[in-house]
Amino acid sequence: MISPRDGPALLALCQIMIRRLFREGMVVRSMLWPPVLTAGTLVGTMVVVVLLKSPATVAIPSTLSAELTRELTAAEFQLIWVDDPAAAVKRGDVWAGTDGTTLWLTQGDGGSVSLESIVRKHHGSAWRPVPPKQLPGADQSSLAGTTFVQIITILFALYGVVFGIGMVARDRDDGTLEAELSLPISRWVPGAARWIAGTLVLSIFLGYSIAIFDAIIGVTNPLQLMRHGIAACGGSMTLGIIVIGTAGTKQGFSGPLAFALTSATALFGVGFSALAIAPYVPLASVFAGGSGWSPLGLTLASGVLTGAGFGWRSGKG
Amino acid sequence: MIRPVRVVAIAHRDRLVELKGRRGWVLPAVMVGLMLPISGAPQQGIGRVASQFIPTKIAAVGEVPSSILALDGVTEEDAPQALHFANANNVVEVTTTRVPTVIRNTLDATDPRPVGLSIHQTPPSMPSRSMFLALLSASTLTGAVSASIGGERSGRTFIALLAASVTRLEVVLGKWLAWGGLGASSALMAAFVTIVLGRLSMGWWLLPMVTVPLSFVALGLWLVRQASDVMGGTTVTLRVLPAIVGVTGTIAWIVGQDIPLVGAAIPMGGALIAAGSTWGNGAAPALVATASTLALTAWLLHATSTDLEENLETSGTSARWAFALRTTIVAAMAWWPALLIPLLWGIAGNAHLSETLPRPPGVLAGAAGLFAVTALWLLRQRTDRPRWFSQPTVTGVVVSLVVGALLAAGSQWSMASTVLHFGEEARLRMAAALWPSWTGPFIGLTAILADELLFRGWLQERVGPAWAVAAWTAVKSPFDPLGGILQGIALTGIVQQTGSIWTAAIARSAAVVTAVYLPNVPPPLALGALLFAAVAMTLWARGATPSAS
Repeated sequence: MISPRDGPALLALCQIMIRRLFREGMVVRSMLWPPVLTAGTLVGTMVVVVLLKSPATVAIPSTLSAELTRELTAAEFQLIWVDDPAAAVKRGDVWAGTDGTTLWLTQGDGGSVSLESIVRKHHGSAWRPVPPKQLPGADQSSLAGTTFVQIITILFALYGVVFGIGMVARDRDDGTLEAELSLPISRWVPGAARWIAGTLVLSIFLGYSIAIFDAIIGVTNPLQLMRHGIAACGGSMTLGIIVIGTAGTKQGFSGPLAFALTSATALFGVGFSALAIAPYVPLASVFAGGSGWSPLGLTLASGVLTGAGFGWRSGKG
Repeated sequence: MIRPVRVVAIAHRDRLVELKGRRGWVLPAVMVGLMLPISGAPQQGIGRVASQFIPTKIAAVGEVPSSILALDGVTEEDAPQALHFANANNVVEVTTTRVPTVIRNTLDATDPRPVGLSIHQTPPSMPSRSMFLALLSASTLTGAVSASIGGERSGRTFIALLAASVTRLEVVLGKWLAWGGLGASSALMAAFVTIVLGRLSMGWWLLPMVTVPLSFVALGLWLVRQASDVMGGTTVTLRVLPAIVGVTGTIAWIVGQDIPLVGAAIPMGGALIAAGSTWGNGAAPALVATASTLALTAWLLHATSTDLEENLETSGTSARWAFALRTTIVAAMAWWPALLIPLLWGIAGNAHLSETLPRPPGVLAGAAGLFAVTALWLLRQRTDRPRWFSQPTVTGVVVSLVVGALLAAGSQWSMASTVLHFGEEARLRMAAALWPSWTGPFIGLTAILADELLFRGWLQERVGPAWAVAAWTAVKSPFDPLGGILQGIALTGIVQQTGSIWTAAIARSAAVVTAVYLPNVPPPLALGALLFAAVAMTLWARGATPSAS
């Protein structure tokens, strides 16, 4: 049932709920946490890399050819003359060692490519690795940026579950929900208002996170990621509201929360599977890819159903 | 003095609230549903699942030898991580940052003069499934911990509990016993199943495994001690607990690879890693991890009990300078990272990435951050539409356009270029972002509006023009403080007189548009234009000019 008062009431309730969410320090800090944590970790890693970057030490025997020694010096390797390079590497005294025909390494990381390239060239091998002339640019780094955004979307979706459950449960406890249900408006309005407010707030902060990552590392197709993200946030809000029903915390909070969080995580897991429906299902679509329009449409439909379901259940209770 | 009967009574009451009725079965059912498969799954099954996440496809482009293309999993495609093959004087060159073993072996097989490669790398010791049992038993209790204090506050039962003849410590211990006990017992039961099915043998790992949920719940209670309801509490536990467990666990694991006892001594993380028998079956790491984690648990419980109150009193200074300083810090955190973090790639060794990352998204993200700061404060205050949103007068618009032209000339003057040499690239980025004529109209206007809303609108109303100008200069023009102050004064003057931030936005938009078509202005003239704009607008705002009447 829809009455003429429902539209203005829905708008007013949405506004009040958004204001309330923004006024809560813990909620706001939680919304800023994913971008701050991930961007902070990224910057922290860069700083550590800069601070701990040390010259690559290579152990060589005194019998090594002068030409190879010159080439290694020119490539800025720090040379250390020892009798047994293999033993020096094994002891962990140096990063690598070579006698011109064999390479000993402490780890097979990217830095070893240039060393191996010089040694193979000098040795006359039929093949050699060549380090890329240029390190990855924005095109390649945006793949990593996209992964960061996908991980952040999981966090926002989990918050969506908490919002969905919490916005109903706490308002049931403090009597706000009863007051809303006693207003001369349709019963679907309070549920729909919560869904819209929660999804909107989560989407705004997710959008901000995507903008940050697009700026600092690059993101492949940010608008597409945004569609998947909104779908995930709305889907998780639906999940939360469905699971809690119209109950308060006095009817138990931890059980529904654990169940909804597990369900949301399982849906994300579906995205990793090869299931054909994954790109169309909210939450699963984050990792499954696709344009994002289908899960977005499904999420909006689920929002309508959430409101209707909430109204029906509150009418029963 | 702790009275065990009262502690148990509080624990019983807490569990009764959460686990009653039909819904009461949900939490135990979820715990069983998550932990049982991990307890009982055969080792081969876990290995099969894990192997699915290891990439097996190798992309190759260029002059790829037929022996390489014949390999399983090698495809010829120009993917971002593809190996680039080339033939240079009969030598195959593979451009990559890492040669996969299968490729290396294939190329070596036909190489008459191969180079031997020996990698001395000790494989890291990995935790067993019992670590996941500890982790799951703890993480499923997030909701229960949040409801334990937040739920009581919002349900108005907390005051009754605090007023009862129990000490604060007994209250906290009771709540900890309720949920820590449930976590520990469920972890023990899952371990029992694992041992009975022969997946793991009994060992010292059982001890730290039990302490993981105990410490997790203690930390959770400490985090939510000031939560006003379940939602606030859950958002805190959901974001902080995994981060703390993840960070301490990772540090313990890395440190413990070389010195297990030091890794084990890291509270929480040490217990988590020791719960997975990562450091063998010896008693020492398990005992050290248990001791350090229990010590942290005791401290957390004590800290929670001393901080447990019904009323959440927030203290804070209302001084203008303090508010301006806080706003400056928050605004700088929103504006600077988006513009300056891309430069760090260059310092870290990848200048190519710094150069190729497009700059307009940085301005957009920074502006979005400033918008968010303003929106948060606006939505938090309990007043109607701010008066600085009012429509500008025709005079206001005309003056704004004139000031915009002066600012356009002034924008070409910069003290920093002659005085400061540190962080030249950072200075250039900040200066360019201040006058976003190069970002396109959408991002440019967004950035200008975000500035005006925050600095000339919200902040100016709260702390007055002087502090607002100071904050604007510190955030937007730290490398060119004189230019920033003069621009800030001019813009502040317009808003003071017209009462509308739209005039400042019009002035800046006009300045950006004018600057695009303006030829180079000599520095003294540019400084003169800025000074004139600042002085004229100050006088106008004070009503000393005829137009002010």
